[in-house]
Amino acid sequence: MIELIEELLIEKKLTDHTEKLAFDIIFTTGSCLLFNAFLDDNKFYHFKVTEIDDLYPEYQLYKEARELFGDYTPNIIGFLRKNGWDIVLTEGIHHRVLSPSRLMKDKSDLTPEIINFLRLMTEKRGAATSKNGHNAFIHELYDHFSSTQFANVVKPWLDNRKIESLPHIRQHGDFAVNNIAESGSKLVIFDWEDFGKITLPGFDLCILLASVLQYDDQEILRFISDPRPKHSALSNLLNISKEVAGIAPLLFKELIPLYLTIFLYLKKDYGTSIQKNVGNLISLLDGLSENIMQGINAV
Amino acid sequence: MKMRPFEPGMERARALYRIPPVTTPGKTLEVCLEGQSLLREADWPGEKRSICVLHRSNATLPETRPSNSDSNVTIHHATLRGNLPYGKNTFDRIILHGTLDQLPLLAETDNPISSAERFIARLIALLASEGILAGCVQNRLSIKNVLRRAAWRFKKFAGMTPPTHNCPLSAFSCHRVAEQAGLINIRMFGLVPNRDAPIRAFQIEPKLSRSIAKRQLLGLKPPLVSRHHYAIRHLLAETGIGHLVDESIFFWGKKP
Repeated sequence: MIELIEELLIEKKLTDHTEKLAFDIIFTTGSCLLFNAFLDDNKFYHFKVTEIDDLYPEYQLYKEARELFGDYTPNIIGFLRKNGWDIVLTEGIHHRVLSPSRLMKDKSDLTPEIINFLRLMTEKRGAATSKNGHNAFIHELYDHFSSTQFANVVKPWLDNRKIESLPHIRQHGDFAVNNIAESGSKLVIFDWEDFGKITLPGFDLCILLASVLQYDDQEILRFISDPRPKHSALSNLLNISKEVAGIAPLLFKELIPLYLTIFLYLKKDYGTSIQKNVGNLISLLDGLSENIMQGINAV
Repeated sequence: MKMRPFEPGMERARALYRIPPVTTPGKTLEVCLEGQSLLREADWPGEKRSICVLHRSNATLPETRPSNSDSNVTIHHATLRGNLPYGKNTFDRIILHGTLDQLPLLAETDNPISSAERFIARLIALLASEGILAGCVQNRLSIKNVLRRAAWRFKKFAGMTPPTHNCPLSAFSCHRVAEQAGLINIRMFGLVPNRDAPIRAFQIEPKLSRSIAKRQLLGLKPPLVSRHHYAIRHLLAETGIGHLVDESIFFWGKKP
């Protein structure tokens, strides 16, 4: 399929010397191959290629995200469907993926950038109106998990007025720390394929916290039940959750098992390891959530 | 829980051979040793595909037959030096997944490199114009293979059996062999961690600068590779010869 990649680069007038391209190919365990095509020392392009999935909806989501969030997203350049292959082309970004330890520092230099981004997402909620309310989505979630242990996590939130009254804010969908990178002094967010599939506020914040805490149940429990949160960057983020994510800190903490169940729902076609890790985490958190909430309410 | 499409390493190995620029859907021939076919039980584009199983010169050849599990696959048998049972200009793609490494196991030769070159030249005759020959070989110059050979030389006096892979080719000699056999537009890639379950393929391109090689390394940190592997790669990337560390080489070239 490499000739299609070269064809797309030529069609977009990004190069006319395909023999000079050098490729770095990444084999995902999903259904895609990822290509980086290097033109010279400073420029490269990134391609997502598959013959299994339909990438056009993803291409449109990337375009929409680019329009809304500008340089926080990769610059999407083109789409090609030919000979059974779907190819999405974006401009390559030299970047460094954030490490969880950097976000756990007391005075993380990146927290203001993350707050700015989350605030921007909340501000752009105007475009994020949903025909169905949150309750309809929770019912859909319950139907999906009805024969599993996770039904117990969802059931208490069916037809819940607190949830229904929350605003609809389109979430990134996979705001995990490995999808956040630094490019120079700017923050760049990758993997927008689930953008807008969830509109329940606080979901992205929860995935960020869980990934920074490396999906470790004890760490998450300690973090959400500590009556005197340390002055860490994460705690600060949580304290202003109403402002940056549109949800009060207390309700956010209550919803953590539900958020993680939604994450599992979104990732139903993803790898077995993430399903297993998040599934275990939900079971542990849900079993203990009553005690946690009593502790939180007492404070 | 169902497996994801590329979760099995072998599926990723098959995906390697979808990368070169081939007429779609095209006719495919895989040449391999007994029990080592990559395509025998695989979803593969194109109406028919052929698998040629190579045997030692003195072997009694089994009969040609369609595959039991897939009627689109025909399996032929041939000896390394005997006639290959196909007409000229027949195939759009020929696959040699590790086959060149194992040619010395089929017939003794003083010069495995020229033997590989002659074999590729015979296969090129079977390719249609602009057809692609693609394959994987063990990298003779990779640190792992160098150490493996050194360990065997040291221990052979104690009656140790030789390694099953002779790995006569490096990235450089593989390129030279393909070129001298008549292929053009040759591209070479180093595979991480190996050819049977690739995670990453880096194009080996002398024109590539050290800075690109180092950027490629950023996506290859532990636990994807071991800390030692990463440290060695980093050191070699600094000196501009990072690809020497790759255990397997993937290549393809076009028939003019």
